[in-house]
Amino acid sequence: MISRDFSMTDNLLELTNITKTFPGVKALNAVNFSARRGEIHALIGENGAGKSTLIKIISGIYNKDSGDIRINGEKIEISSPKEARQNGISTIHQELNLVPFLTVLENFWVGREDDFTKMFLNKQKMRSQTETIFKRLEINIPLDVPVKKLSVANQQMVSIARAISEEAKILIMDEPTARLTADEINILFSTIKKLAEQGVTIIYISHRLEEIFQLAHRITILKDGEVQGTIPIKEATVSNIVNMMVGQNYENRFKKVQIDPGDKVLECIDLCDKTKLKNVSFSVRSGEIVGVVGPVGSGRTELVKAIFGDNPIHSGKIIVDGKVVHPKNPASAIKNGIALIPEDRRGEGLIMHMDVAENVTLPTFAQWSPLGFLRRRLDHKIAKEIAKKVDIRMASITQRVRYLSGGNQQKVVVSKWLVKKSRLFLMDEPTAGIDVGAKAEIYNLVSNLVSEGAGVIFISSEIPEVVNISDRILVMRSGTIVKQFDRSEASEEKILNVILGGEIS
Amino acid sequence: MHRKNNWSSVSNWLGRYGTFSALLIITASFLIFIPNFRSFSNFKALMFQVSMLVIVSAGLTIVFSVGETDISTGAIVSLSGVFAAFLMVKNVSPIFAIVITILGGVILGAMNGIMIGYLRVPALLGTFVTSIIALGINYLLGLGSSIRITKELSGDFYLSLGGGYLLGIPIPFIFAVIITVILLILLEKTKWGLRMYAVGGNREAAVTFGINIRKVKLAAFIISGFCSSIAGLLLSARLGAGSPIGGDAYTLDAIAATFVGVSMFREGEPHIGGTILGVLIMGILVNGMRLLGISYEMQIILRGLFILAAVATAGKRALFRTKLF
Repeated sequence: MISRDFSMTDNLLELTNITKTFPGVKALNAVNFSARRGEIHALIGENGAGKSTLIKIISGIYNKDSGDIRINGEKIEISSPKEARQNGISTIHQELNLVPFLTVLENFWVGREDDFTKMFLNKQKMRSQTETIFKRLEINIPLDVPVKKLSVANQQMVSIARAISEEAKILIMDEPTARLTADEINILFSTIKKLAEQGVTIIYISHRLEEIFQLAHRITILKDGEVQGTIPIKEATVSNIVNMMVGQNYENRFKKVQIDPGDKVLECIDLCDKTKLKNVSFSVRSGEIVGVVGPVGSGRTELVKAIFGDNPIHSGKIIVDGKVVHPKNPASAIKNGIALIPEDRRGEGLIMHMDVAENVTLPTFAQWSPLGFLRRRLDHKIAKEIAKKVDIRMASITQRVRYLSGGNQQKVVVSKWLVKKSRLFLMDEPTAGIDVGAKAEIYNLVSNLVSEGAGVIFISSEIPEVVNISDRILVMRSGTIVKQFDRSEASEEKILNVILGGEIS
Repeated sequence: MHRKNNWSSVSNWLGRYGTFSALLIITASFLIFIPNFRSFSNFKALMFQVSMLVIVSAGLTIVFSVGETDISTGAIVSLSGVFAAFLMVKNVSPIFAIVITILGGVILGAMNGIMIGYLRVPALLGTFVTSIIALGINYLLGLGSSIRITKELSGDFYLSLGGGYLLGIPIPFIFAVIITVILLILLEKTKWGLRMYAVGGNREAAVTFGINIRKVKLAAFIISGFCSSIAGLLLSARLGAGSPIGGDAYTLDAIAATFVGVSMFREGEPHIGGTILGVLIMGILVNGMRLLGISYEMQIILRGLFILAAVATAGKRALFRTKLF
């Protein structure tokens, strides 16, 4: 093993004044970031803080608007993933980036077999070289197994080893532990530490502070596209990191209307599914907004899908309006008065090339069309009433939803379920990708729903909005509810603390 | 959910081994119940019958391996026969006619590859367009009727490619074996094969591996066009004529045969060996039906039902993989 003494002031990667603007949003504003040789540098920030934009600029997926990138003090341009690799920058993505049915060995060399051969594969040579690298990283994975038979952790190891064999000097890891078990995380960590000792620079992105405290040498905190600070891990504490992530200035406070909650619309008792959910119990009353927060992969989406009949339940009970239900499929859930506002608005919530009236009446028009003939005039009348109620800004009821703004599109999605007078709304990231002004309108819409007696489950990655809108907040972590907050006791800091793995009291 | 699991394991088994079992059962029952089936002359007839389908299907397997599909094979087979016959009628020497015809197949394959790989036209549409163009040229050359290839016109050499023997083995069969072996080695033993599998297996990963997706797809379609033109030449030599519709059935037959391979090997990945097995099933089925005196029209219907059965029992993965779903 090679182990050298790396001077800790030696900046391998240096970004200065990086700015990136997307239509309407300044994703990064004059960001300065540097990483030393052999350093594990954690990057942290809330959703939308600009972490992924920064990563994508370094790995050549996005082009920066302005600013400089230097490697070893030398200014370079990275305009494609290929150029990033040529400069020694590799990214380990969250999702599998290998060919599932090819073997470990084949995945290791495909695309760069030229190192060995003009035409026929020299498996022996490939094998011995792979073994050398695996040995160096102390990885023990059989070479002749299709990668789809490997665990997620081992697949990740193969990707890491491949990057190392491509002589990567900078390894970017995007939430690498999101799908790993505790043991696997330990193995991954020892590999990461080993790589750092060997002089590889690791840029490590994670939501889990405890991991960062275990691993990182320094932390850079991003917020709203700006660097809040870079601190050595020895000087960092959970509370100062959280403070930097949250910031003081939160405007646009939404005025919550207090409604006295009525009967339970939904009660879940010890809900388990096959893979993720473990003993989830909670209830939603009529007139109540229940916020659900938790990192990606915490089971938030699985939970609402289970209630909506889109994720089979293994054990436990779902009680809707006092009756035990067994939602086998979404159709039966809809019949029980449950509406899902899916995370992927364009893909699952709307039919983009159809008009507003068609989208609004799609789940219900059959009720007033017994012979199957459309009754356009009635459709339009009903759609118009609802559009007026939720205030959809549109040219006319026959405008295609594709041409509406994100906020108005979301209102159309909600409108679909108002025709039916649904009692329970499951909203999965309803404000994602919607600009600030439109967000306030969505909050008002949710507010109106509950004032008319509906119950709402509001999932969001933006903790401030959940704190503002919810009557109660459930914090989920690895498939279970770890903490419930009442509105009166909830604060962004407390919730972040629980999500980031701080103490649960 | 529990019921579904049981059912899916049954259908998994059917998808993977159903066709192979079918081959065994069909062959065994033909051996027992049709005396002529056992004869040596029938065995030779079978070799002639499957040769062209083997070649077309092997080429199609390459296209499947890069995650695309090709429905222009039959049209290229038909056109190639007509084209070669047309050239020879115009007094082009047989050798030269063969070379130009193969070049034509390669050009049509390249057209598919450029449309699908470079211009991102969906394969089903792109190869359909090519098949229509091939059909148009076909009718333009032969005015929709067969062009006879007489001995006087082509000499013994050309016709023997379709009907002759070498060391007692039908010559088309020798071609089929050679092409199969070359493509098998290409797909399983060379870096190009590995890249093809990578492109078909996970496009995004292949991109990050630095593989030129477009080039790989172009190559796959060129190979398929090449194979179809060879099959067309052999078919016309066998029939003694360039038939304007002689190759049309190969489109669906080759997809069915390849499909059997996709369902059987590597859990849903295209494989030359599996394809050959599929061709044998199709060939034995047709041969047996002929011996049983089943009418040609009825044979077509039964073949359709067989393909339906193969598709219905295949896993979702295989359907997805072959872009038929």
